[in-house]
Amino acid sequence: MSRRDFDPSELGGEPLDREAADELQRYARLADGDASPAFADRVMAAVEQAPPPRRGFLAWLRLPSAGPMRGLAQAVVLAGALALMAGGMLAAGELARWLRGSNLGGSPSPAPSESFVPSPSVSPEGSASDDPASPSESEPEASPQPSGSVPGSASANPSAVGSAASSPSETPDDSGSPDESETATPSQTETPEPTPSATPTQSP
Amino acid sequence: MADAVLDGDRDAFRILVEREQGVVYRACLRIMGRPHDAEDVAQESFVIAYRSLGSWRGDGPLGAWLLRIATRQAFRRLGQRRDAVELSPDLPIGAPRSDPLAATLAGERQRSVRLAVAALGEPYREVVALRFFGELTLDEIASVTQRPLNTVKTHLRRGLERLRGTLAAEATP
Repeated sequence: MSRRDFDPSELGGEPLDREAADELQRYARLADGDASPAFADRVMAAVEQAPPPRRGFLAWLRLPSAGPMRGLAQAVVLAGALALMAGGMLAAGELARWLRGSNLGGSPSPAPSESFVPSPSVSPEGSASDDPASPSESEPEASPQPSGSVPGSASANPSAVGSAASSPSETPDDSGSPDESETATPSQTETPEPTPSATPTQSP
Repeated sequence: MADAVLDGDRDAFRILVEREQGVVYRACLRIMGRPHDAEDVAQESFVIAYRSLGSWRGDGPLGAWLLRIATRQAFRRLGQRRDAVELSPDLPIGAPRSDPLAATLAGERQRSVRLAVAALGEPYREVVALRFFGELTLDEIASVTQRPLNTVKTHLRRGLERLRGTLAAEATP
């Protein structure tokens, strides 16, 4: 890597006061030099005592296929990981949909069950109450029961009331703010944290 | 090269060390201010990188990843050193030895610059150090920190503005 002097045009936009940049450039030019000739030997001596690096998942995927079996294995593992990920996302979506459905009393999913359950009791009553205009079999679907049963469904399902109260606090969590806070924190998983155990070996 | 090291080829790592030792050492020297400390931190950084090579994503140059480890380690060590009692002040780097007064002033100013950068909050400190001490391009910094390029530019601009305020306050008697 060669020395790259700072050019304010790198930042674009409005002009930059160069004072601090110039000061840093001056300091960097002064603080120049090379490590001692034995530096690489010292590093390698320390590396000899360190445990060998283990290939992480990302590094394993990065590996150029040394043979057809390895490439095939990589593809299989990658496909498995993608399938697991897709399955997880589907399950999460289903769960979210179920939660949302249980929170709203008038949502479409509970309504058919509510209209379906009273149907056996309604149709005998209808037939017994001298109402010849009411069709006997197709009435459950066409009956105005769903609209009338909406309050009933809400009262018949007390757990839905309780969970509906918590729904407003859940929905804002889904829309996380993606900006500065996320970009400002570097990922800790991939860039290793320095550990104090890496003590340097003493130069002779 | 990283794959060769991960396959157990230590000679490949030696090639990496010899290729990157200059820039890693200089970055450490600019943060630590002392050649001996800079060598120690650079060595620690290479060992950390060796052990953690399996977590390298492969996006961006390997040297940039090394530099990020080195600058973090150097700032960490600098913080520990400042916590301890410093028995000897920093020697000026590259100052004329024939003029003791000039050497003293240069040493003081260099120390001010180093400490001002070290006192910057993150992420400004990291971006400033990688750009000016590690001599990385903004594209390389964006790649190694996994931040958008415009975010890196903003961090560098704000970092320089804060640095200017700190240095101006230091220069005022």
